[in-house]
Amino acid sequence: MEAIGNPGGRPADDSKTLIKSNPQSHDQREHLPSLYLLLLFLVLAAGIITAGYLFYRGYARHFRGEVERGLSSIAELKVGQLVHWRKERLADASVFYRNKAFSGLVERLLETPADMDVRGRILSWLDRVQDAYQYDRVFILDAQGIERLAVPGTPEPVASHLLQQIPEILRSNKIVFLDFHRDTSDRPIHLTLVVPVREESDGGRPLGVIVLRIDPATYLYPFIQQWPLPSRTGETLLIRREGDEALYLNELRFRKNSALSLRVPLNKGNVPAVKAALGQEGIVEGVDYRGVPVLADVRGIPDSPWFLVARMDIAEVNVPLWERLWLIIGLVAVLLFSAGAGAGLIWRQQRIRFFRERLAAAKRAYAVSSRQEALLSAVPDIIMEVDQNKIYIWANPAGTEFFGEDAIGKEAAFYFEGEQETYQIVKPLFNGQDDVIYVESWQRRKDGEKRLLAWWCRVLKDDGGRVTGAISSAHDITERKRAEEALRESEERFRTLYENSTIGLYRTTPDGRIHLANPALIRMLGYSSFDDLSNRDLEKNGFEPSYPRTQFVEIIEKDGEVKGLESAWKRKDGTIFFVRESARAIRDSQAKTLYYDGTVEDITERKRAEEALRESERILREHERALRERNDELVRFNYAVSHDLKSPLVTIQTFLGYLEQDVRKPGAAGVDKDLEYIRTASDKMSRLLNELLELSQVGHRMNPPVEAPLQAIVKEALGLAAGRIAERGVRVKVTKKPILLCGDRPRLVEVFQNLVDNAVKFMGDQPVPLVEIGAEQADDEIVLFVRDNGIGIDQRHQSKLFGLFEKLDPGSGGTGIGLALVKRIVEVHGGKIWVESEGPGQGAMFRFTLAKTRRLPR
Amino acid sequence: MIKGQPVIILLIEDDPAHAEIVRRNLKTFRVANRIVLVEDGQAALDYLFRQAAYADPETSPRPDLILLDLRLPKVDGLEVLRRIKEDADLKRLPTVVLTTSNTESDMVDAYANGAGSYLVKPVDFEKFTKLMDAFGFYWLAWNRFPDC
Repeated sequence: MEAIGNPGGRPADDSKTLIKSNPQSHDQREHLPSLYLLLLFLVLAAGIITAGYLFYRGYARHFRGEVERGLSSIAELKVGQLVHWRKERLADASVFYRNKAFSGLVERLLETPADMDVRGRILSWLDRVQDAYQYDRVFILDAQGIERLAVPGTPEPVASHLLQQIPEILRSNKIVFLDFHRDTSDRPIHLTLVVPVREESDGGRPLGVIVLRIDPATYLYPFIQQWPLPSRTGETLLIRREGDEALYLNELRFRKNSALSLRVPLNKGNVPAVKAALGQEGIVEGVDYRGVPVLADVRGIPDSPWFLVARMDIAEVNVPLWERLWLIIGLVAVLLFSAGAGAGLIWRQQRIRFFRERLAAAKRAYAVSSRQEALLSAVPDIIMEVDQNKIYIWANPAGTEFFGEDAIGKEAAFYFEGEQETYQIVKPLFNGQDDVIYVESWQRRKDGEKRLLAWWCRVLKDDGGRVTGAISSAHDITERKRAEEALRESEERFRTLYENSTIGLYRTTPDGRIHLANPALIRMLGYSSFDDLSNRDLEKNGFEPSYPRTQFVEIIEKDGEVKGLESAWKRKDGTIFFVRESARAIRDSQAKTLYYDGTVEDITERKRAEEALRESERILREHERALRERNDELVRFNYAVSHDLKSPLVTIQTFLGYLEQDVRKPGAAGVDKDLEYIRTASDKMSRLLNELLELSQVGHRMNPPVEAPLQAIVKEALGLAAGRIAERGVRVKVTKKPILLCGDRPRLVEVFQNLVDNAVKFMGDQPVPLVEIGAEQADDEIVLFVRDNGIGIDQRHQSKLFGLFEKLDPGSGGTGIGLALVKRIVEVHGGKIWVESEGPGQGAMFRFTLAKTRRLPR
Repeated sequence: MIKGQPVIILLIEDDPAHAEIVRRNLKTFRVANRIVLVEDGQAALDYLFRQAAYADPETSPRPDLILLDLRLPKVDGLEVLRRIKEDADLKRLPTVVLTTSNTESDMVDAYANGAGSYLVKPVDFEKFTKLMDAFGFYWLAWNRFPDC
């Protein structure tokens, strides 16, 4: 009921939102991350490219700097060395300049050219210089230009330009450095130092010149051409400006025979050689003699007409840059690819996750919907959906089963049976006031039968909270309703029965609490109401004063029931009444007793009648017994008389016969004996007759009853037996209890007298004979007793004791009527007598009761 | 008697006079016999079962015949008879009831309890003498007893 009463079901709502929200989330989830990813990738790509570009630029700048610094350092190095080289050469020359010793030798040579000594000494000078400094040729010219001495000695014509310059040199008297030149166009290129030699005497007459000729090809050119770094295009050029041209002084790497022959006009400003020749210094870019773009360091060489160009092809310079550029491009490309791939991968992952989620969601949605479907099919209850117009639009199998396949599209009221307020009741549902409403309604089943359905209706609302319809579950409660009706009627009947029953009905618990009691029982017990009664604890305050409740519990626990237990119960006011009770233990499955269910019947009236009947029966039996006893007594009496009275007669008759015979015998022997037997027998007979008379008078001729204290009667009895008591020396002890006896006084005296006589007679050889007379309270009567410490009575003989003419001891005197008489008197006084003795030697105790004996209050 | 063995009669009788009558009558037979007298039912049982004062078999030999009075002190004659007949050994002793009672019930009870014979003491000297003569003649002259 609850599941149906909380209907519409959260599951349904869930599934709906799931299904609805799916497309939206699809778009968002699909595109947004892709855009983000693309953007991220672009930013990353831009970053990578920029970083690559900047890195390349930085590297290029740095590399260019490196190259330039390399070029500059090479140029600088070479310039330094060239300067140094020139200074050395001048120093060589200065060895001969103003050298007085040498001048003297030259003077002497000129004077005496054949002087071998002088020649030898001069040659050794020249030799040393030429050899040590690797001059191409060292020779001495006189002022006329005639060669006087040379090393090596092979003769060579003196260059014309030299000859022309000698006078000037001699006049200036200064060392002249002749720059690269050819003596003639077919001669090799030389550099030449010319040192004037003057007479060292005071006149200073010029003598000639020493010429130190240098072949650049031996040292200078290789030095210039040497490039200290591995390079395909690195090259050092030496330039000299001649007019409007720059003249290449050395041999070029890429063009033969260029020394002193290749010239570039100064207007070709982008040629580094030109820039150098024009005095520009530092790094320049330009196009070299081959027309190739180059990078060069240009600078002038101090104290000389030379300019140095250290250059490399830009193409070579750029080779590492290109490599680096390609490397960077490659790297950037790889990075871009990686970034792209990464982004792609992430995108793919996201797509996969997205589709997985969609798949899971779809599965869940499917599971929910199929579960819902199963749930709705599985519930035995009818489930129907209506729209806001109360038209059935959906039904579960149970619904279809009930209303039929054609219920869909019909209005709910179509199936109503009879007038009903169902629409009024469900109104709050359809106007949105209530969410759930319960209604019971009679409906027509598809077989036409009228059934009562219990509906739980739950409203359905759309997103905007508008009522779109309702889902209702229904349960066919027709049978239940009928059963309830039947039950109510049945309960009513039973209640009437229970309430009006004259027999008491109850339900109690084993621990004594009253759960139920019907009015009859409450009345029976004298209570005003059940509440009044239920306060009573049966364990402590049961209804049954005559027996403990434990007995009832014991029986009912053992047998499971109590049948017709009759007992006296106590009412609230304490009065007693009688009931007949039957009860049954109600047990649970573990056999533990839960309740006692019982019926109680007031049987007081019946009980009284029974009691009366029983009493009369008792009296009747009493009479019967008395009669039988009287009869038995009579039989015994007859018997005793016939036997005991006949016995002496037999003796008398027989011994009379003997007497007759003995009389005739001589001396009448035996006569005395015969007579003695006869006398004894006739005495006995006479005594028997007297006692019989006395006995027969007991109960017939009675004195009027009187009350007398026990002690008075005993005293009288003891007086009558005083002789025998004294004779045997018996001590008699009498109780002081204030007991009053009532009856025929002389007879009562007779009882005590006989008992005391009997006790004294059977005292045996007891050295301290004692007789006690007393009274004891036993149950509801007073028992009197006479006790002795004599020979006692064998238990086997105790039954015969009170018989007529019964004698236990044949040797004792008396006829045996004493105790019979006592018994008769006691019985006539409504009492009984019996003897107690532990046996021979244990003494005897005669106990007896007398009606109306009472004890005086002190 | 042929055997010369005296017949021992246990006479159970509380009245000394009656015991004397029996003794006198049986004495007239010239047969060797011996009468043992006990005066009450209890003494009779003690004698027969050799109890109390009668424990010694020498002084209390086993009787051949029992002569029983019914009205006895302590234990009634019918009870004594019943006890004798209940005992496997004693029950073969012939027991003759000799009583003053001619009450039908006594007679029936006596035979029911295994009495061999029921004799009523006559209130007449002649008859009593004749009865005892006949008794003595029958039991002491004709009747045969087993040896033990």
